[in-house]
Amino acid sequence: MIKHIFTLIWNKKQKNFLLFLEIFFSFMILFAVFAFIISNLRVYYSPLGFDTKNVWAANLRISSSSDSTEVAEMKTLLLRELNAMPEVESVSFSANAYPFSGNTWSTGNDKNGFDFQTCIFFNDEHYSKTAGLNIIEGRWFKEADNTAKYTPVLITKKFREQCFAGKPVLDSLFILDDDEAFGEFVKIIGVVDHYKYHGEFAEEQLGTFVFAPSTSMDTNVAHIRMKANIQPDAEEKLNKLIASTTKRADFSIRKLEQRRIQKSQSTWTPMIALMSISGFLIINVALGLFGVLWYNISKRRSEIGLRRTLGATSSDISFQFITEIIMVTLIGIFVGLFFAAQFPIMKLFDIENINYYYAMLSSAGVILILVLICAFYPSRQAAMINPAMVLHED
Amino acid sequence: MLKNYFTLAIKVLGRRKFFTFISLFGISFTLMILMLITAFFQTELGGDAPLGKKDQLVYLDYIETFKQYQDTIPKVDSTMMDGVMQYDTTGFKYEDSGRSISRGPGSIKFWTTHMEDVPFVKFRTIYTDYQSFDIFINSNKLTFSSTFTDGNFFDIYNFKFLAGKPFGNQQLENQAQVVVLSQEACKKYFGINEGTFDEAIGKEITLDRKNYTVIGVIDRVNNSFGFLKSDVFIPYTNAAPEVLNRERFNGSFSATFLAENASKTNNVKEELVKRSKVIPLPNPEQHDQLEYFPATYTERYAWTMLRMDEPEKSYKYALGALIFLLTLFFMLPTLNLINLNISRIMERSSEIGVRKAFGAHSGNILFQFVFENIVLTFIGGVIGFILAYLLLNTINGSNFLNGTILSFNYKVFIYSFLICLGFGILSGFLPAWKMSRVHIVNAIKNNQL
Repeated sequence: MIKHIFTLIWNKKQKNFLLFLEIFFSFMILFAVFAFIISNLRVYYSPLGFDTKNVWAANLRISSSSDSTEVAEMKTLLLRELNAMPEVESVSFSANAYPFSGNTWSTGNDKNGFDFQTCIFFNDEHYSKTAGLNIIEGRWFKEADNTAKYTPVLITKKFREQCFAGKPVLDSLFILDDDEAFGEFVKIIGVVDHYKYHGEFAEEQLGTFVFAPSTSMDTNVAHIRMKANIQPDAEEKLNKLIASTTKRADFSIRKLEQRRIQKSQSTWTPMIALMSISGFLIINVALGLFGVLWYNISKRRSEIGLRRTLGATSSDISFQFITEIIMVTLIGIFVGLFFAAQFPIMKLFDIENINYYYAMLSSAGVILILVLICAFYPSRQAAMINPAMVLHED
Repeated sequence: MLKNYFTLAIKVLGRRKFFTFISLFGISFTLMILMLITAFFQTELGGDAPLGKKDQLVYLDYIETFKQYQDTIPKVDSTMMDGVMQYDTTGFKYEDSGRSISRGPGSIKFWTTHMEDVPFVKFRTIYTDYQSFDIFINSNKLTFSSTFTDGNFFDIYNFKFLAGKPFGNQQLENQAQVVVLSQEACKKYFGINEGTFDEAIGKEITLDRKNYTVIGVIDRVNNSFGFLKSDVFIPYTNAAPEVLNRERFNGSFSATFLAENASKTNNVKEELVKRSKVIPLPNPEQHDQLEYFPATYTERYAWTMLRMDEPEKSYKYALGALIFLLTLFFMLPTLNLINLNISRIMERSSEIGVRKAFGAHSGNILFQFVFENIVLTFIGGVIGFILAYLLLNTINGSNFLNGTILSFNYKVFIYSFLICLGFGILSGFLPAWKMSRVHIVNAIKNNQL
C-alpha cells in the first residue's frame, strides 16, 4: 500500500517537488521563529526575583574625584531626609549595575577548583527590604558587616547550584576576584533565590551581592520604595529633596515598574512582529496548499471513478489522498529536521538545546495539522464522487 | 496588444474568484511586509535629515585602554648527568592570560589633544550620549534628555531648524549659556504650538540649576539614534567641572568624523587606527595599550545591533543574515504562487493550443503569461501598498518601535514598484515557460474547447 503511494508520488515528482519545497521552507521558517519565541518565553516565565512596584531609582552620578568624607556626609544626610518623608517606606544605595540599567560588572576565575564568571552587585544593608529579595538560606547584610574580617557576600541560587552543588555554603570562604579587590577571600553569608536584573527576557546569570556600606563612594544609585497610594506630587517632592541635598539636578527618577515594561517591550516588539509575519505566511501557505490540492484532485476525477468502480470504498479514496499528501509532508519535515538538527549540534547560537527540540516538535506538529486540515476537504470531495457520473464524462 | 493581454488577464481573474483571492492575499501581504521593511530601512539608513552626510561619517563611540597579562610557562628539558636526572629550563612560552580593560567614551582631553587634525577629515565633533533628567513645571513632570556637544555637531548633522540657528564654536569657547531645543521639548516646556516656534527664541530655560537662552528649535528626528534624538543640545563647556577637567582618557564623549568625501572614509579609519598605536597613555602602569574600532555609518548600525568584537565583522554578518532571511521570506510566497499558477495554467491549455495553431511563438505565449502575472502582482501591490500605509500609521501611532517614526516617501514608492515587478516576473516565469513549451496537438487534444 505505502509502496504504491510512493509510486504515485514519484510519478508526479515535478509537482510534488514544488510542494515538498514549500513544506520544507515553511518548516525551516517556523523552526527559526519557534526557537526564538520559545527560548524567550521560557526565560520570561522564570521568576524575576525582586519587586518593581512602587520602587523608584535615582542615579546620583557621584563623581569618582569627589572627596569621600563629603560624599559620606551627604549620603548619610540624604538617607535621613528620605526616611523622614512620610511617603517613603525604605531607602537603599547600590552601585551602577542595578535592575534595568543595562550595566554589568562581572568577574571570574578558576582558583577555587571550579571555573566561574559572575555578575557583581554592590548593595547596602537595606537593599533586600527595598527590593523585596527572597533569601532562601542565611541572611542579608547588616550594619555590623562593615567591620567583618572577610567581605560578606550573598550568592544566587543558580551560582550555588552550579558551583557548590550538594555542599553547605554558609560561612564558607572563596576567592571572588583574582586581583584581591575584595581581600583574598569573601565569605558567603546567604543565598538569594533569583535576580534577573537585566529584565524579564534576559537569561539569569550567576550573581554575587557584595556588601558596600551606604556611605560608600561606589554606591551611586538610590533605591526608594514608596508606600502604596501616595499623592501624585510625591515625585516632585522627592526630586526637590534629592536636588537640594546633592546640590545638582541632572538626575532622573526611574520607576522600576515602568522600566521593566519598557525593557520587555524591546523584546516583545520583534517577537510580535515575527509571530504575525510567520502567522500570515502560514495562512498564505495553507490557502495555497488547499487550492493546489483541490485543483489536483479535481483533475483526477477519472482515476477516482475507476477505482470506485473496481470496488474501492469512499474512505479508501480519501485515505489514499490524505496519505499521499502526508507522505510528501513527512519527507519535507524530515529533510527540514536534518538541517534544524545542525543548530543544537553545532551550537550556532547561545541558547539552550532544549529550546531547539521544543521548536522542532512544535513546528512539525503545526505543519502536519495544517496539511491535514487542508487535505481533508478536497479528499472528502473526492470520496463523494459518483463513479457513474465521472466515467460518463470522460 | 498589451491592451488585449490586459483585458484577458482581468477576465481570467474574474473567472475563478477563489483562486484569485488566494493569489491576491499572498501577493498583497508579501508586498506589504516588504514595503514596511523598505520604509524601515529608509528611515534608519536612508540619509534623511539630520543624516544627509551619512556616507562621509566615521564613528568612534568608545575607546578601550588595557593591559595584557601574560602567563610565563617555562619549558623544561631533562638530561642525564652523572647518572642523575637533571632538569633545565630551555625556554619560555608566553600565553595571553587575561586583560584588565577599561572601555567607554573618551574625555575632552583625549579628543582635543590626540584627535585633532586627522588626515582626510573635514570636521570632527564630540558629544555625550543622552542623559535624562526630570524637570517639574506646574507639577507636571517632564523628562528631558540632553546632549553636550560642540559647534561642529550642527555642521556634520544637518538638522532641520524650525526656528533660530545652531550654536557655533565661538559660543562654545565663550561658554555661552545657549541651547538648541527639540520641537517636542519646546512644545512641552513653553506650551508653544506648531508653527509658532519663533516665539521660543530668546526665552530662558532652566536646566540643572542653570539658565540657558534658547537659540534654535529643530525638527523631529525619526530614526532610532539616541544622541540625535535628544531634547536639549548644550555647548559642552557648560558641563560640570569634573567632566571638563578630566585628565584620564576615559570620559563621557563619543566622536564623529566627517571625511572630505565618501570615498575617503576608509582612509580616515586607517589613520585613526594608526594613531592608536602612537598615542602615549597617561597611566602606563595601569593600562599601557589603546584600542578602538572606527566604523562607518552602516557598520556602526550593524555593530550596535550585533555587538560583535569588530564593526566590519558585524556588518558582514548583519548583511548576510538580512539577505538570508529576506530570501527565505520571499521564497515561500513565491513558491506558493508558482505552485498555484502551475496547477491553474493547465486550465488554459486549449487556449494556448489554439493560439499556437494560429502561429503564435513560444516567446509570445511566455510573454503573455508573465505579463498576466505582472498585472496580478500589481493589483496585489496596490492592495499591499494601502495595507502597508495603514499599518505604518498604526505602528507610528502606537509607538510600537519606541520612538522610531517610519515614513513613506517617493523612494519607498520606487523600491516597492521594483519589488512588485521582480515578484511578478519571478513567480510567473516558471509556469509560463512550462506552458509555452506544450505541444499544440497535446494542448488541443487534452481539453474540450
